[in-house]
Amino acid sequence: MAYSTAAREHFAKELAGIREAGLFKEERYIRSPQGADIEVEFPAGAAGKRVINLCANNYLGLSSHPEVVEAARKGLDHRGYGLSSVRFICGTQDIHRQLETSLTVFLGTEDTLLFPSCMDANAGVFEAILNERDVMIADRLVHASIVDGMRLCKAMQDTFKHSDMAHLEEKLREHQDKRFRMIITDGVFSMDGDLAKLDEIVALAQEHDAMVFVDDSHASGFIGKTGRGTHEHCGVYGKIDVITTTLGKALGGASGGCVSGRRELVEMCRQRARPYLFSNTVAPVIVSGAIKVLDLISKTTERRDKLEWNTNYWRKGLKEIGLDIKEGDSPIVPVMLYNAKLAQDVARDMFAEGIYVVGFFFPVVAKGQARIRTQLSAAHDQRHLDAGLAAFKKVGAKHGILGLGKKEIIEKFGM
Amino acid sequence: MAGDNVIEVRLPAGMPATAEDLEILRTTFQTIVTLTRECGCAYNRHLQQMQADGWSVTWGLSWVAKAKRGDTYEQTTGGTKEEALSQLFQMTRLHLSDGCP
Repeated sequence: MAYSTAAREHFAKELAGIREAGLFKEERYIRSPQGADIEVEFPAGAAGKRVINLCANNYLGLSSHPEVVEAARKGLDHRGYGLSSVRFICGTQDIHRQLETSLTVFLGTEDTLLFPSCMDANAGVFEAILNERDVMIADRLVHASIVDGMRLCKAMQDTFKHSDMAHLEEKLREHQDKRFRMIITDGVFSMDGDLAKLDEIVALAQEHDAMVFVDDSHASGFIGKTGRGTHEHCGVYGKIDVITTTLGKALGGASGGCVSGRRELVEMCRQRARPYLFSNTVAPVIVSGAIKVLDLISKTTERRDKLEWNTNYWRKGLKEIGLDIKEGDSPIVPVMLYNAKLAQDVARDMFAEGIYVVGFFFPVVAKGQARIRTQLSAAHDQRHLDAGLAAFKKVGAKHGILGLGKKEIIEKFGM
Repeated sequence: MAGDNVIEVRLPAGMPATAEDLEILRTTFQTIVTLTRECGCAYNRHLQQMQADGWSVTWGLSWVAKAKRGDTYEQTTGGTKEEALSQLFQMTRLHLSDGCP
């Protein structure tokens, strides 16, 4: 053992610094399955409190759906708990391939490869496909996992201003000397809930001979008329070269992710993506549950339609009570507070009112952009939303923010 | 480091030397010393070992640019300072925020 006193003191000081900066992440223990109503133990050791959950990625409300749970149970019974192997040694069951085929059909691609998470998919995909003769041109607000994946890849890294198509085109022209160009974007951006302009991106890609990569983690299952994702919403279904997405949000919420897209690119990942090659296979229980999820949402758009209704109702309600929200179509609805302390105070008061929301501030979001990110679910009924709106009205009035815009809030509370 | 040889160069009187000028002078002298005195030293053994292991090795001098903000760190290299800094700029653009999970 060589964990010296000096090392212990060093890390204790680092942690104290994180706490002092207000960036210490504290887990809240949930004593119930995921859903619209949950029981939360916070702070640790406190009695459980029933609250309405408005911050989960459980967009379709399938995380605890009885049919999904039953399918998972059957998977456990028939295919066991684990495989004790990576995929290519002895970790691929028939159901893994079945799920990959279902995802391929659902996403409208040519092939799919499962990963332990979408974080892993994004960490492995670029390095597997591109090299130093190529360039990756990413939207400046892509997810952190994409940034990590780009760092692991030897291709040249470039960026374009968030959703700025003129800037993207400029970059595409600039990199015509490269072997391959790949445009990289989220489908739905997790901070603001805005959608990528995939129709324009695909048009530019065709004009300038570039591949298109989309992380659709905050879209798969519910964005688009039949929930296929941002590409369906933008009318470019079947035209995206690489889609990564997660099973950990709308598609059951357990874990797991995938790379889906052009057959050869997916096969390159199967041969070379290190998180795939060196990680254990996705557990059969999750695979079985995810197959059921795709089955459910392919048969009917009922849950996706309910989510859309909830989103519209929630957005309208927040605006009516005078809160400043980010406009958009997605069930990610940020309530803008701009000031970090205010965001934390409002979140704390909402919890006291029985509504579970979280404040986000720098460095999670840009400086002066502190907010509470609310997220809707098909598991919410109108009574959940009405309770949430009533709590926001009460807490908003307490802090004197109702009816105030960005300028007024900043004037009152600072950035 | 103790025992290192240090060359002192007197600059012409009145010549303003920026931090960048001094870095270029330091790097230039270091490069000359490296190229003239390091031939046949340890790195040749490393080179041979890597080639024996099947690596095709090329090497050259380049600019290194580094950026640090809190716990986030980026480092890039380039044949020119412009290339290294331009790459570094693009990498830091990807950290406008840490992003929501």
